[in-house]
Amino acid sequence: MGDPQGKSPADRVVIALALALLALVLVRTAWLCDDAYITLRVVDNLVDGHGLTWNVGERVQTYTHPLWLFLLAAPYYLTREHFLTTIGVSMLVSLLAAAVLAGRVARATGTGLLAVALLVFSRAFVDYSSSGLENPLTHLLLVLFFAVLFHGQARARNVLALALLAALGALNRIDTLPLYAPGLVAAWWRARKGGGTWPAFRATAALACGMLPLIAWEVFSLVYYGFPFPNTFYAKLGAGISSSDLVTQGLHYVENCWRRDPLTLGVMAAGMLAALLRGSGAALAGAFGIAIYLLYVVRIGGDFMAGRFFSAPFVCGVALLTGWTDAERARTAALARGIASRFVEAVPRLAWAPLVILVAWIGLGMPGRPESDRPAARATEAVVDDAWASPTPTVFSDSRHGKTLAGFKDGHGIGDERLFYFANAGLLRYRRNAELPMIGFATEGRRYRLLDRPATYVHGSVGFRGYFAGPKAHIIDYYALTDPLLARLPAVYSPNWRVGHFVRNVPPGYVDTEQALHTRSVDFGDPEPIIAGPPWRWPIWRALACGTGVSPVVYGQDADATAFAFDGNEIEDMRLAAYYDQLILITRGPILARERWRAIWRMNTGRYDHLIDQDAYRYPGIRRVVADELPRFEAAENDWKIAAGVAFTQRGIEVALGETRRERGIEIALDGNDKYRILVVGDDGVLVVRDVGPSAQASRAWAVYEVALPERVAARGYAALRVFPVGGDRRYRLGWVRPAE
Amino acid sequence: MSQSHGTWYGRFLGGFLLVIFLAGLMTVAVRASWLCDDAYITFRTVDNVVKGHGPRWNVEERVQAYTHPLWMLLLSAVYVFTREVFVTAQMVGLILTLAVALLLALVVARTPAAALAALAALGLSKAFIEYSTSGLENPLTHLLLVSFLALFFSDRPDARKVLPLSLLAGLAALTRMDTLLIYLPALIFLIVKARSARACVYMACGFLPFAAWEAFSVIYYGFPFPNTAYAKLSTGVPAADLARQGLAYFISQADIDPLTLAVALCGLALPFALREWRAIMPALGAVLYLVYVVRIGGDFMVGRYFTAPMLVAAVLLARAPMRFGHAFTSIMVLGLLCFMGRYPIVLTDAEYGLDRLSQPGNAFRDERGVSDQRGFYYHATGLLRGPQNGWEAKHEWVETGRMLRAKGKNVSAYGATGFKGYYAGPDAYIVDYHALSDPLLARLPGNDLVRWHIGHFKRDIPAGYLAVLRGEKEALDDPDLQAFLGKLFIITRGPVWSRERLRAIWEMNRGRYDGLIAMYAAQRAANAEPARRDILLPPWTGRPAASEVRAEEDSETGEGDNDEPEPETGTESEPDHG
Repeated sequence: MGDPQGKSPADRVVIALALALLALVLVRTAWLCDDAYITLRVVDNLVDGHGLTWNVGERVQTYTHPLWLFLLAAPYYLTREHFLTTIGVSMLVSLLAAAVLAGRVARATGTGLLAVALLVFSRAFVDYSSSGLENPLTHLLLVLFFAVLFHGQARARNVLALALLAALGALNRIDTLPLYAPGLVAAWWRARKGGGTWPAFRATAALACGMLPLIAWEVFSLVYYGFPFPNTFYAKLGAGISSSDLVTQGLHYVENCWRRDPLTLGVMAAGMLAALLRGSGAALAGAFGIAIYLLYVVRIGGDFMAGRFFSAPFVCGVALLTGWTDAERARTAALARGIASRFVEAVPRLAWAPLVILVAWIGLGMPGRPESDRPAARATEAVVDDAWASPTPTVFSDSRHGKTLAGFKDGHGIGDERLFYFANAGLLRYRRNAELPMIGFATEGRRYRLLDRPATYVHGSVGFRGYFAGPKAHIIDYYALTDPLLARLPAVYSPNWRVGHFVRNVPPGYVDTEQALHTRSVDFGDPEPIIAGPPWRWPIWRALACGTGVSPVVYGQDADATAFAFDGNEIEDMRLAAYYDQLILITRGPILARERWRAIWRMNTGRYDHLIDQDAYRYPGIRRVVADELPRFEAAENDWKIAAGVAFTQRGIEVALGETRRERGIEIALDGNDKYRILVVGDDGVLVVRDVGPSAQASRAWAVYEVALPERVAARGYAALRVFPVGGDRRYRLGWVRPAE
Repeated sequence: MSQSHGTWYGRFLGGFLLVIFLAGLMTVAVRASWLCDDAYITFRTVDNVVKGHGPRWNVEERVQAYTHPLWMLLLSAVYVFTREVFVTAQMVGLILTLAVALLLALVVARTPAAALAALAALGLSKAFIEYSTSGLENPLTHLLLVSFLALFFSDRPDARKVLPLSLLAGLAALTRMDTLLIYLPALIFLIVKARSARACVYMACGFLPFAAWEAFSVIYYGFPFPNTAYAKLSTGVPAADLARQGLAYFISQADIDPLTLAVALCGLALPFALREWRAIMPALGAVLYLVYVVRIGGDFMVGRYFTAPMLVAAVLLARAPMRFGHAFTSIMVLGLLCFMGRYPIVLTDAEYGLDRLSQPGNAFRDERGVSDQRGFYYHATGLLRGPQNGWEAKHEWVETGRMLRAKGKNVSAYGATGFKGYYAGPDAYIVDYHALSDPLLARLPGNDLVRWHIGHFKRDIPAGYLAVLRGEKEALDDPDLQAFLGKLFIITRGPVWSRERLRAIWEMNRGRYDGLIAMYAAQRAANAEPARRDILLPPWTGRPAASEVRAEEDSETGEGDNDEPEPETGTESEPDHG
């Protein structure tokens, strides 16, 4: 097939054809999700001159991907259209990434074709090559990085390029940094020993200079937003899930990928193996990066979007599998002698054909029923918990995809988001006279825009709503992705938590406070023509200038703990109100005010954290009883329908045990047909968690459970129990709590 | 083939595979062979020509009801001998397609492997195979295009190519005027490269047949363009809506027949892959053509406008110096693309479309209004169904046509006038309310600018029109329109060589009489729905959906952790046009 390192015209033609196949697959699977519209609202506000804000007037970084946002903003500035523009940008960037992978990373034609085949058949890659999220740009930056890493020489200039790409990658999504870091270090190490004057100094200087964009953004973020990390980061920190639970969920995430999309995981593993074979520092660094990244994904509990966090390491795996350099190939050939070495040398030429067929077989041969055979099911009934639930291969996905939601979510809350949104927000649903996405939330948002007055709303899924509602709507997100105060409150405790959906309780008085701030202090301005007058008058300059058009918030001096108080603060919890005073100074106050800097420093160093009553917000509405005051009765003779025991709701019940107890077991009577989670609470928080029920024989009566406690818990002593139902019939009763004999 | 192979068995294998692929291509083409109703509009003209009534559709008037003069003439030449249209039209298409395949494989292809890959691209493409027959002019377009490109890429010096290439381009314009866009960049390239007056003269000579036809058209029909062109220009639909519909056409193509679109798009990149800069010209032509397709709103026949750009790409594919490995990979990729489509063409059989025929509504048309035409008509006109259909079209519209023929001289109004017109014969005068063959209606705006369906822009028949045609009335109710109609009748019905007629032709083409229509159109517009983009949204009942309410309520208690709504698919009901 031509010179292994060069490509003949026919080789390029075949790769072009393969890329055309990929392009069509991307077009047929293009879609947008709700989260993408969170970013689009920021883009819309930016382009209209309201600054990098989500709710106008409130500077909060609601997006995790600054670079992607700017990339979307540029064409949006020209088209003012959200659906086709975003999809178009996503697909172009994805195709460019594939072209670079097939052309520059994979130096031989056979490996280039293998790379494209792997991309086509990977569900994670194809699904997140559109979606409106930042994955396409991640892919592009990664392949550029590996192109330079594998095939560039060990020079300071290349270290600069690599560092720049890594910085851009981090600007795009900061948690992809582990994929770049080992490679960057490896390149820097090689360049230290390189030729020329002062190689070590130049390599280090290149590294530092390359990182400048990231540093510049961090500085900007601190100045403009007051915090170095996006709001979603703080929201996830305070979710209150234990790390072991998160790791378990992360493992479920990996398992979900293994069932639905084994090729993606397989390629990651194969790539790491290939790196071992290749043996060069760059390849091993790439493999190490994948390993760290996967550990990170498991540690944070994965995501609710199946496959989303695997597309980046997958691309790394493809690069490792296909990006062999001459030296590596020669080295591997030298290791194998005789006939074997002939075979190894011929590998790029011959092995690709059966490999591609194998890849296609895996990609297409997933067992499963075609979607049209499945009965229509409501989303909640579509939970599929069985092994190897296998959807239709992505290459065959067409406009019928998503008509039924069967099989969309697995038992751990991880869902096939493209299936969920495709019927409403897929490109193949485009019609000349339909305003995509055709989803109720978008219509609701449009209604808010039609009202055309400043108003405050509380919602969960805020992407579509927020974008279509326009700047006059102020939306409080109770999943706390976009709300600064709620992000810093702990999530409401729920045994059935779903990753990525951590609800906060809206503090009483908060909505009124926000409404007052919104109506009094925001200047919406009149829409100006986009390009009129000198460039410094264009909205984009205004947008990037400091300040957001917000009039300074009114402050008064408060002689108590905090220096400033907003006199419209109606939050009923006084300590939280004081906390919020400082927070709005950061998010709404004049950027260059000295008081704001002080507040930024203190907030970031945790000086105000004590103002938040964690338990009150983690267990809102929990019913509190004392164990001794619970009436005693015999379980056997009391059908629970008779009013005995204490009724409680999903908000749970807390049973104070009076004094610190040290028994090794407790006996608790609960109604028998529900499952419960019992948190055993000591002085410094929850000590252990136990699940009980439902009881097989006691379906309508009391069940008495004996809960054994480990030695360490008994030694430390516990003072209370919190009991929460894990799903059920919404009728929960507690009988009594006694120490077990 | 311009390159010979090393070994004799290599050559033998190459030749053998070539024969296999050609046979395969033709087999698929025959199995898919069909005719569409619109082709029968041309067939009626062919019938009239051969019977001596002249190239007319309704014999009373001179109207160019077909867009493809050269194709019409070709069919007429064969029809003289066969006097039947079912097998004839399909055979002509198939023979032309065979010629295209042979040219591609033997002349254009650089290597046998490249020929195989190009043939595979053609044979696996639903659009190409379907429009290898269908009775429309696509096969002729294809042949002229391949001939042009074969000559364009040949080793002859460019100066000697100008005349034959211009001739081919002129004939292509005679086949379908808008395909000239594909040839334009190449022709400009040749002229610029030649930089001589002689080249310009040669080019002008090459376009002489086309110029001759135009002269004939203006004199005989009174207009330089076919009636269908005027019908499409006068619909009154805003350009932005049409462009959106054009984009929808591309989307439908990606959904139903991704291979054709993939190859066509790949072709745009092939000049750069091949590093053959001359090839940029045809690729540019294909881009121009595709942009034009978007602007006119695409078509209601899926794939029809993509066959020409795809053929350009197939030619460029054949120009690659492929070896068998390349061809093998290409064919694998093309095979996957073929099976990604909704109805893989290689699986077609005599029962194609029968299952969808029994489904409610129109199961052949997708939500964008683009339709799988062959599925719709195959039961009626499929070649493989010839034996059971009596070797002619079998459809209720054929019965309608026969019924009209039995009535003797009569005037009626219908949409979908292909079968009806052909089987009704010369005595019936049919007013086509989609305005493809009616000169007056073609200049009136469409009756529904909101819920229109691409390719089917129905017109309201002006009050009194049918009566005037029947001779029962002297004039239409609207005096302006009657004045316009008077001029039109002079052009289409009056003696060809009268001075009054020539003046009317001149004035009509200059737009002098447009004001008469404008008054009529304005009055109707005042009474009709304004042209607007009918925004489809999920119905808002004033209350959020149940799951959303629960999520909202739970927010105070902090419970709503499953907030996602059920997707609501927009419902849309379109009136089913004829």
